[in-house]
Amino acid sequence: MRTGVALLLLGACTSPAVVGPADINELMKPEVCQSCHPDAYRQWSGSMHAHAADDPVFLAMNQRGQRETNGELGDFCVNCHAPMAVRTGATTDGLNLDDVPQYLKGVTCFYCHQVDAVEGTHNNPLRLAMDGVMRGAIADPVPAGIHDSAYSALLDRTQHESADLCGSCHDIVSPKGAHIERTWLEWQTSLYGREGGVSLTCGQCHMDGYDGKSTIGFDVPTRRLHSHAMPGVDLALVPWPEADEQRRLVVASLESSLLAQLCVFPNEPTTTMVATLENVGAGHSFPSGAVQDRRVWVEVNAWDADDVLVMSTGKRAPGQGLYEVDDHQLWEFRDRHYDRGDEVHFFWQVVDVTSSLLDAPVAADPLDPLWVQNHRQRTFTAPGVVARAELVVHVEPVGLDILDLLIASGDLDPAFRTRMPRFTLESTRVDWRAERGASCATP
Amino acid sequence: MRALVWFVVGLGACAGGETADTNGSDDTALIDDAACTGAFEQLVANEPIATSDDAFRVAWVDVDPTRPAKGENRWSLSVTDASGVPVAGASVVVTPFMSVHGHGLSPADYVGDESTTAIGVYEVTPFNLSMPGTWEFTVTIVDGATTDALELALCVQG
Repeated sequence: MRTGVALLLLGACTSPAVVGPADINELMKPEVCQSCHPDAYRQWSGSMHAHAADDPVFLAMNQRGQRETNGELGDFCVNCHAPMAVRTGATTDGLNLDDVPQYLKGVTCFYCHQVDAVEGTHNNPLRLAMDGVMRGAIADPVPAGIHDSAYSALLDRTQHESADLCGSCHDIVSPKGAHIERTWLEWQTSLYGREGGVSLTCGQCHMDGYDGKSTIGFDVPTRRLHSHAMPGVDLALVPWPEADEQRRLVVASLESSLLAQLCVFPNEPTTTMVATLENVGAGHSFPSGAVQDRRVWVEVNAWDADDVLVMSTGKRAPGQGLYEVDDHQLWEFRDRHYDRGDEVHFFWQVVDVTSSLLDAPVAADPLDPLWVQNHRQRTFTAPGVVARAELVVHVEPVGLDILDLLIASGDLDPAFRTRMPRFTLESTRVDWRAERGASCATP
Repeated sequence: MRALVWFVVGLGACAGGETADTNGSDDTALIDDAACTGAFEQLVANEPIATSDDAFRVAWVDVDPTRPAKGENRWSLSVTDASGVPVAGASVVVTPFMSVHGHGLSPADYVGDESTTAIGVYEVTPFNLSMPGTWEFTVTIVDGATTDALELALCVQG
């Protein structure tokens, strides 16, 4: 029976008049969507949305969190990482995801396209219509037969309110009340979150447009569509579809986020170097999201006229954790979490947050006092007259130090440590030479 | 040989937040103009545009994608003097900037390498436009002692 329904649905795109509305349980399956929307499905299949409940770091953290809270963590994690599994009762805590059907894992087509309201500001307050009407950004969808369709501003990336749909999951308040992930808030308070001409929604940056047909097998016009690849900063640590494409998109996104400058003033007995970073391309802080876990830091090196390295900070060998080296000049951007003054490392422990991130821009006019808000500056010193200096920024989606904690507790396979990517942002690489004289260099 | 391209960008103000007409297959309706504000230039393939002091003429001979869009963009520019004679050996630099947000790109400038097959044609290093919206592009040309530039505001679609 199920095979028959599936075959009917798969045949729907070649003979739409034959098939009527599908059972809502079938519409929950991304592979059913694939039959008529192969491009969107392919793009989504490589996304971290599709991967959200399969990521080994997520599974390890959830496992450890459930254990350390005696199960009180409940559905806190899976409510965002496998929302359909929670909504259908397939899981209550994410500890049984190996037994949950794949189509209920991750953030699926059905989940987003059934949203009809946003009922809060964080921790996934999305309301699903559960009516089988697939909502989207097309104002006049061609009747599909297999499912009804409707326009929704929540799924139209050209509409300001579409950020509400994304943002209400990408904004997290911890079980103890700490606001630990603030991507939506960061965007709302930035230049990009203001309604009007300068606004850009999540989808306008993370879901690139292209010209195409939304569906196969139907007589639909060519439209401006948007990719469902949704690159951020994370990559799959296990074999996963579209891995090369997702990496390409993530790198392109990271490389367009920051502007860097290094001003060098050679002198005796010390050279002063002033590094400036500006977050221009991210519509939120950089880093953003799980900023307690993400590692973003600056590497600065300086050499004298004999090419002797006289100063170095932020330089790490492959596989070397950021804090494995005593580096008193380390310049990094992250949150730190505390519980009654003691630093903690996992989100279920945190009560207080201190934050040092590259803020999103809030002003476009250099004469506006707020214009400097997305700039950060740090002064470094080197002994003697420096003849050459360089700067570059590195990004690790989840710090190796966090992985080491999960490995030590037996929750994460050590093999994953070597698979965690470390991005070196070539767009931030600055190379200053003494021939320039005391001056500022940019990439 | 890549086909000559015509790309039309909308003229006149486009209010932010309005959904572009996506109903039909009209080419102009495919522009995601909700991210652009103000008036912006219309470009026609091979139609030269004069630099500000009229020292040079610049024509877009090859553009990919055919409309400027978020992501990687490749331009080939033809540079002539005011009388239409191709200018060889010039320095051609394109500098994209987004004044509504107050930022450019990193690096800021993109150099045109002279074509080996066409005199006066310069293939600009591909540049990655980081977001949709209105961008200003300055094309600066230096030929010997003569320096001139032109600036265009273009709607970059998302």
